Amino acid sequence: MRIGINLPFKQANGDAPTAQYLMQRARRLEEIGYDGIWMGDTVGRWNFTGVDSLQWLEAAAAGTERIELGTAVMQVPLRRPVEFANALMTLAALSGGRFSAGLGSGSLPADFEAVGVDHAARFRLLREGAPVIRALLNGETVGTACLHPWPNVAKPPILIAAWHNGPWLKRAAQEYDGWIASAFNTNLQAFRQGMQRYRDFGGQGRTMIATIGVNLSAESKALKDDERYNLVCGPAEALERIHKVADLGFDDLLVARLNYSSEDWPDDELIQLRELTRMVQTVK
Amino acid sequence: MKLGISLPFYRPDRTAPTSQDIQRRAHAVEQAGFDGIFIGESIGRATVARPDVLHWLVAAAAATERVELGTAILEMPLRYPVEFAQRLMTTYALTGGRFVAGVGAGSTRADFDAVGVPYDERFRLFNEGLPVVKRLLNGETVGTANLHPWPNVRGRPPLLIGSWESGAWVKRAAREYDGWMGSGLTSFNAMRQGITRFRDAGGSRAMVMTVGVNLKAPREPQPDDQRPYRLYCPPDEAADRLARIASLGYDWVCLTSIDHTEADITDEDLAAIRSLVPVHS
Repeated sequence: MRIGINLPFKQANGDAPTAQYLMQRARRLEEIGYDGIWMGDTVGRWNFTGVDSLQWLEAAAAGTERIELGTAVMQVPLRRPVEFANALMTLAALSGGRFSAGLGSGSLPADFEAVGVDHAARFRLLREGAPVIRALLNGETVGTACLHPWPNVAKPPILIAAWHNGPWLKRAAQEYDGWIASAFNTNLQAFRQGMQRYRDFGGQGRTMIATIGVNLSAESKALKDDERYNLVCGPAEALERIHKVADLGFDDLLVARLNYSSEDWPDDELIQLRELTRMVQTVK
Repeated sequence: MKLGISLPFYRPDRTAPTSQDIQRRAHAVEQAGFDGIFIGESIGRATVARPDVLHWLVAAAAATERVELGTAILEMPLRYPVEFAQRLMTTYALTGGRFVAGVGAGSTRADFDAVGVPYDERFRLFNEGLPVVKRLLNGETVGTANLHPWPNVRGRPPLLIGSWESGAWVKRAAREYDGWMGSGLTSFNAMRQGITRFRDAGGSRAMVMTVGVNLKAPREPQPDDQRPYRLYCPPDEAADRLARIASLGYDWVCLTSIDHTEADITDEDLAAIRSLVPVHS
């Protein structure tokens, strides 16, 4: 089972990370054997600092050679699609093709209120924006816009964040390169239903579960099917939980923490988590 | 007068560079003794790929320690102010405090048409948006938005205004922001008029951006003072033309290759270009 992780948001003393700080962390994750670095996206949501995740990934690209880089996920409605697509193309170029773009409508109203975009319009804005982004990254002209991608820069894979019971799962299956399910307020039941629908719609792309909380020192108890999915439990139980989503057919687990420094999430747990996911094969 | 230079957008065969390519060039620029790397943006007007320049600066930051890293300029109205401010704050953090944000209303209709923002709204959007950006970077709440800047980046990056020499924004750049960026694409007369107005309004940091350089070009006649100011001439002539800019009292001049490929200005050319302006003490 593949595993990805997000980057820290601050230094141990509370200062802002520099490019060098993130490069060092990214290099370490590559050494430990993580498959990917995946960043979420918030704008003005929390009572701590949010970042431009694409630039965060650019810093990771600067310090690594092989590890995959991705967003899980960027909220399309908070950007203008043409300008946003240009940033995605740039990261695809500088990372040497290691970037995958996870896109979504966004869900919480806070970011929309902060930026000044109508939260009720989010699905329409994604419906309009995502095809524009895809076409532009393919080098097509939309309106008067054409990004003229560099000849050696292919369209990055586009994965779509979708609820298990919503309309975007069908589009993810039929029009894009994969599906990102969120562990945020979601459980095994929903993952199972979502995967069934994704396959029924003909989806053969990559499937991922994002925003998974981890604490392998936590007390263990069995996870019920209707409880929020996480890896906040001891290693043996974590292995069980990883098996459960591997058996459903998910390809990637993306673990994440908020507002942390490299020192807050030390090597021992990162290595242990990598070892656990290595023991599990996705069932296709 | 300090000297900056842009980075290439293409390898010699016009393919995209990687982060490592950018890092190598940025390191060479720093080693050659330049004071800064400043890059302009365009979205939609070009018939070839143009990067998101903040990404270029992050790659440059990865391999440098000293040079300033800046934009010249970003067309602010093409973005939502809150999301844009978060991006500027991010670049400032990642560059370890070396980022200088040159921002402007934009002046090229094609970019607005491509992105889908009404060109005629650009000044209104800039007038309304930039104060919001500044307040957010200061850690203030605007509407429901608050960026919660890390304590060591609050109130940054410096915001410099790119505007025409005759507009109202030269004075606002002097009084409300951190400096003014004129463009070599205007003319010597415009550069003179701009800095006069800027200094009269009490402005401190004045920069001339986008001065084209090609020391291998056939000697172009000295451009008359109404036309774009550029250095398509041998080194002795180029040094004289830069001394004229310095004589106007500009603090910085930033050069760019017009074709933006690595072959246009090679790593080997950097030393010759650096020596066109006496090293700032």
